[in-house]
Parts: sequence; C-alpha cells; structure tokens
Amino acid sequence: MAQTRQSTITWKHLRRHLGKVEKPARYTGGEINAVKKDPRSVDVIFALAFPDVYEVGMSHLGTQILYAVLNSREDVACERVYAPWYDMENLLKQQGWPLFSIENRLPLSAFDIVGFSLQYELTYTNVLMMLELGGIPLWSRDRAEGDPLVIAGGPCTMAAEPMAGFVDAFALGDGEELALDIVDTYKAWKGTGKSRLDLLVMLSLVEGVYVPSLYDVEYNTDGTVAKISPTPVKLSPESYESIKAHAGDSELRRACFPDDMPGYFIPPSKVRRRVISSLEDAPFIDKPLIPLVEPIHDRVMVEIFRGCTQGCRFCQAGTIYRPVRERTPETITRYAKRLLEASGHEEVSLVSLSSADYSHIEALLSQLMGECPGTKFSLPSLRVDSFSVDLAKMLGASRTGLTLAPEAGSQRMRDIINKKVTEEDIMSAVRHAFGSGFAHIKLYFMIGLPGETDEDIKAIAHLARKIRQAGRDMGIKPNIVVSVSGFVPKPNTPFQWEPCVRPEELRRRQRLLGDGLRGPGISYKYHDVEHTWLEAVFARGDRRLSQVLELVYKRGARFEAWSGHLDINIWEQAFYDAGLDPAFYAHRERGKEEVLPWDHLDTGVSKQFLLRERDRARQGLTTDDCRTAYCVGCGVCPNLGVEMSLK
Amino acid sequence: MRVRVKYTKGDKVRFLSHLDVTRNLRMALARAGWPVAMTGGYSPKMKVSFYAPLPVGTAGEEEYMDVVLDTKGIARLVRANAKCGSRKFRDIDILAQLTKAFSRVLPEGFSVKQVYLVDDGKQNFESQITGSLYRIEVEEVTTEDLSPAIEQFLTQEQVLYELERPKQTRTTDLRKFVESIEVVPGSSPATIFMKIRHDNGRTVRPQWVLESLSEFGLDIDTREVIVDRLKVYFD
Repeated sequence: MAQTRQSTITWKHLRRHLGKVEKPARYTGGEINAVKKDPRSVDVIFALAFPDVYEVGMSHLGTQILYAVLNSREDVACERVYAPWYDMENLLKQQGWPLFSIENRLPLSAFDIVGFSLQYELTYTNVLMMLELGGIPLWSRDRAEGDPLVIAGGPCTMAAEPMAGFVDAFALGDGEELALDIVDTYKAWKGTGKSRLDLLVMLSLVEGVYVPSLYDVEYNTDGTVAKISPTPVKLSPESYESIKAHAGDSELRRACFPDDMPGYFIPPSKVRRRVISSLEDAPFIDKPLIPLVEPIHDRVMVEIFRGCTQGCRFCQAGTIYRPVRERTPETITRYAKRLLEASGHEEVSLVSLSSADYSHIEALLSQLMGECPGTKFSLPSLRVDSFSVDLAKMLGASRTGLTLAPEAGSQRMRDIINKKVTEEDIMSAVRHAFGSGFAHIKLYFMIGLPGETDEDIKAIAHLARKIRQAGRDMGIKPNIVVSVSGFVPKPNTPFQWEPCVRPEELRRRQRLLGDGLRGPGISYKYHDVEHTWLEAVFARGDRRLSQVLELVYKRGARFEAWSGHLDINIWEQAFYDAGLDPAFYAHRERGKEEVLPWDHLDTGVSKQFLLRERDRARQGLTTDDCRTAYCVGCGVCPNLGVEMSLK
Repeated sequence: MRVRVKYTKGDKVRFLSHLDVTRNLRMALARAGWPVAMTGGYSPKMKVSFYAPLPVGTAGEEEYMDVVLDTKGIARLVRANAKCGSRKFRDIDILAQLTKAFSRVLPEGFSVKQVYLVDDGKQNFESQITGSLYRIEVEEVTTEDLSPAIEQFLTQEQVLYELERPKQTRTTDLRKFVESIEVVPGSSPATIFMKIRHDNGRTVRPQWVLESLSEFGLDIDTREVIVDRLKVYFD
C-alpha cells in the first residue's frame, strides 16, 4: 500500500484561483476514461509527466498507451501531469502549491515513480521546472529515500546524456513491457527497507533500463569523451545476495556479479533498447482518454505499424524504432471502430512513420471507409509518389491539400540523404495531384544538410517553381507552400558525426532560398535558426550539459520549443558560465574513432552500419529498404533477437 | 424534428470555454448515437445550436441547446422499437430513450435535465431569451461591505463600463442590463443573486457589475468570485 500522502489542494481552493490563468481547464482534468483510483488502495503510484502543455501532451499516443497499460494493473495507480504554463507556474508559487497530478491532485513528490516523456530536446528545461515545482530535488544525486524515482522514456533517451544529472533511470525503447518491469522492480524493492542505490542497481538489471549514475565518464583534454565505464558498486552483504539471486543466471547477469569481486556489482557495459516483438499482440487502448479541452490533434489514433526501414540518413526515428512491425488490417479496423464509438470523434489518424509503406494500405483504406461511413481518415507521413497521391485522393484530401516531403531540392542531395525519389517521381506525383484536383501542395525541405552547396539550395527554389509551373500548364492556379527546417545531426543516424551549420550561415542559406522563391503562388516558411542551434547542441550533448540546463532553468528558460520563447542570451551566458562551448557540440565534425556520449547505449543498429551508410552518403550512393529488397545488414534483428513482421 | 435539450454545465466543468462545451456535447451526441441531422457540403456538421454562451469559469444550472434530428434516423429508431414490440410508439418514448442514452455518455460535470420537442420553424431561440439569473459568491468581502455599494449602483441612471477588446474598447451601460441585485443577508461567503437582461443576444457579465462597484468604493478581485447561472428566462 502506498504511503498516505494527502492531496493538499482542494477543489474549492483551486476553483477560487483558476480564474487567474489562461485556459484553466488544462488543469482540471475530468477526461472521459480517465482513471481515478484511491492511491491508498495500490502498491505503486506512478505519474506520467509530459513536459509540455496539456493540449500537446493529450495528443501524444505513447502517453495514452502507457496510461492504459499501467492502469490495467490493480496494484498500480497511474496519473498524469503536464507542464504548467507561465501563469500557472506563478499561481502555484504564489499559493505555495506544489505541481499536482490531474486525477487526484497529488503533489508530484507524493508519487513513487515519476516518468517523463522526452520527445524533443527543447523540452528539457520544462522537466526541471516540473521537478522543482513538484517538490522533487532537481539533481538525481540530491534525492533521498523518500523522494520519487524519476525516470524518463521516449526517443531522446537513446542519447539523453544532458539529462543524466536529473534522471535516475532512462527507459530505452518500446515501453509497453518495460514500464511494467520497472514497476515490478520498484515493487520488489519498496518496503524492503533497502537503500535507493539498491533500487538503482536492481533497475539496471532490467533489460532496457539505463541508470546514468552507475556510469563514469572520463574526458580527454580536448573535451571529447575518453571513456564511459560502468562504476563498480559495493553492496551490503544482504543486498548483494538478494539482488544477485533476483537477477537470475544469464551470462550478462554473471558479468554483473564477477566472482573475482565478491560483494561488488558491475553495471552492464552496454544497455540495450527494449523492443516488443509484435505490435499485433501489443496492448491496445480500448478506452481512449478524451480530453474536454481541444488537444492539438483532435482525433483518435491507431498505430498501423511501428518502425521504418526507408533508411533516410538524417532520420533518428528510422533507427531507433526498427524493425518494422505491422498490425493486420482486421485488427486496425476493429480498433478504429472501437475508438470511434468510444470517443464520438469523426476522424481517425492511421499513425506510422511512413504510412504508404503499409503492406495492405489500399485494402485497409477501402475496408475502413466501407465500414465507417462519414468518418475521415488521415495518413500522416506520405511518400513522394503517385501511389501516395492516390491514397490522399481516396481519403478525400483534395480540398485540404497535399503534403509531400522531398527533403532536398537536387538529385545529388537526395542521394546523399538516401531519399530515394527522383525529380521525375516528384513531378509525376504533383502532376497526378493537380490532375486529381489538388491545388494546395505543401513541400517539406531541409537545409544545412551534409555536403550542401548553394546550388543545392537553389535547386529547392527551382523545384518549387517547376512544380507550380506544372500546375499552371494544367490550367490550375496552384498554391505552393515551401516549409524549410534546418538540419540537425541526430545521434544514432549516419549523420551523427557531421557538424551542424552555424546559425549565421543557416540564416544566409534561408535568405538565399527566399530570394529564389520570391513571386506569386509560392509561400515560404522556415524555422528560427536558434531552435536548430540549441537542438543541435543538446541532441548530441554529454552529461556536462546538465549544469547548463540548471543554470538556464534558474534564469527563467522555459518552453524553448515554443516560437518566441527561446531567449538565446540566457543560453549563451549559461554556456559561458559553465565553461562549455556550444560550438564544440553543435558545429564540430566528430572523428570516426571518437567515443560518442551515447556509445554505451545500444539501439541494436550497429555503428559499423551507420559508418558504412555515411561513406555511401559521401559517395552519393543510395541504400535499399529491407522491407522490399534485401537485408542491408543494419544489425537490429540479430542484435535484439527480433524480426521484421509484415502482415 | 427539433428537440431542445436543457442541460447543466456543472461545477467540475465550469472552466471549459463555450467552444469546448459545444465540442464535448457534440461528441457526446455522437457517442449516444443520436440521429442528428447533418449540414451538407464537404465537411458535414451536426445541426446543433447553442444559446447564451457562458464564459470560462461560469457554471450553468439550466443551459439550452437545440438539436435537429434526422427524420430517417428517427424512423429507424421507431422501427427498432416496434420490433421490440412492447407498445405503440409515442414521441415521448423516443425522447426518453434518447435522453437516457445521452445521459450515459456525458462527461462528468454535465447532466441532462430535460429533452423536449420544439416547433421547427420558430424564430431564433437566442432572441427569445430575456434574462439570466446568476448566483455569485464573493469570499473576500462581507455582506455589510457589499450592500451599500450595490444600493448605490442600483440608484444610478447609468453605469458605464469599458470593455477592452483586442482591437477596440466598447462602452456599455451596465445599469440598463441589471434588473435586480439581492445580497443574501449575513451569508458567508457573501452571496449575491443578480438578474441580468438579455437584449437580442446582447448582455453583460455579473463580474463587470462587481468591477464597476469600485466607483462606489468597493474593490473586488472578480477573478476569484464564483459565478453560477441558475436560470435562463425566455418568452
């Protein structure tokens, strides 16, 4: 049974003061299918903490899945908490209230486990804000026995060293099974009177759990990482015996309790990402949380497959969610119908990393549209080809417009990034689109890609104008939106060694592109270069950056991902004060032999494969997709003991 | 076939905006399987109308929405009922059935009070609304502080209030909208009943009236008052 920790904020109190904040219903919950258990009736109370505002967090499928999985257990109560907006942060401080959960308004500090979702680097400061407002010591090292266990999951965790100071344990990979393993481990520890260190040791024995404090990082004089080594932990005799017994007898576990070091625990030298072998059999949310406040994506979501092996070389998701695991059309249809009934929504989003790749996409769509009349279906992430245009047309998207992502303007550049479309593919796709009644086409591109020249930038403008002209030749007035983001080299991609283009140079390239796009019928959108810069620093940062995060947080940095909320001066000052050079992280080409701050975390995709892909990029060679061609030897299936599963 | 639904926007959902209230009620209608008539066009919408919107923070005991039901859908329901074969169909049975289904799927904080048939072609309901009765609870002041300021307000010919909107400031005469204000003697928190007129969709908020009391020497932080609309009057 969880300790009795009383909720400190009554509805009456809250009600009296909420009128002072913007969108107060963000904090009052009451969602359909929300689960409100008596925290005293369970063994473990778990907070799913999303470091962005409610409307963003409520649109996150992963949170929905974990909420259902955790609450399906009778011995667990899972509640949610979101980042309070500035006005709510002030109100909490004025009233002396801790940050509280939605369901029972429990202070964050009252939970056994607080699990953050790290979806993008620019939310890191919000994690710090939530910890502090929740009454939890910021630094992992300052937490004592009575404090919650702070864990984090999500795509960033495969390289979240900048958060190493604040997170007790990272959960790597698919969370459906891992979350329960963590809860079970916590439960086995809780009430035994063992130390917090014992808990961390026990967690480090769970496949997919990375406990950063159990690893020591040494640096070279040039600032690069020299070595990341597991730290031997001296355990008390009782703890040693019980944890060893609990760990079973695999080879890996034997390595953690070496015979020549009795009483010592050595954490695993590499932590491997968890994967679920089958999405078809994965738990499904049949009672979706339906917020009373409109979320940013106001529709139900059904994941049609997980993983993508297109192999775009800039794409992190293309590595860290491998291999491809599909659901059957029957299961997807059943789930879609159930979610529609349970929600009253009119739209279903069929979610994946590249929806047109789904093996039975056409059959699926006709089945869904036949069985759910009046419902809108949407496919995010379509490919750039005529087939995708047909799908979009089938879904009746021609009024709303078509979004295509050629990513680069020149063939040379598309070969470098392994975006396997030719200009002819693009042109035939758009002609097909124009012919099918589409007039609005949105095109996504990246600039600042490795090896990019001014000619490649101009090629984007040229392509956009050519697309517009193709529409005009067919007698329509096309409306083209060119949306451009700055390339950020991401860890666990073939481009992880590449420098990110400096902000001033990126700005010049933005202008260069803007000059080429001037004229009617084409509009141009681009991101702030500061966001690109900051993301580039933190995406591939090491744990020394934890102190920068603390400094900027204390100086008021919040909601960096929100346009207009990033104050570059605070960040530059903090880097200076911490004695760290952001350019070292963002703009430096890293050596092939260099130890990368995330080398001890194993996605299953081998470093040799990433290096080989990088070489092929430099030679302008593309690599096939193992879904349709041969195995490209990325290593994920043998390394993680899983297989691609097409239905 | 048009039905009027009298519902409650309760305490727990008082902080929803009007837009969110309409979104939730529409989704609930869909979940309840009501045969709602749809508008035509590319993205059909349910034919549902809402009246006298409440602002964020205000709860409503008796709110109204109109729902146009699809005759074919109703016919299907009637046939389904007939198959069950119990008794002869009456409108009232269908309405009771719909009410029950709707009740079951409403988010916590909402409830249905009544569902009844209204004439279809009648004039706009909004223009039939003549007034609202509000209950206001004020924590910070006592009834003794309140009463003199309110009396002064009521003796005025005109009390001008400047409503600041993003682009312009509009001046409204609050006095002409206020029909009556009553302070419950000795109540704590200080409780006020305020009857406010509606004039063809135009009305004022009780908070504005309380704010205007600063002219008569009483400052109230209106962000902290609890406002409930108890009743909507209509012809």
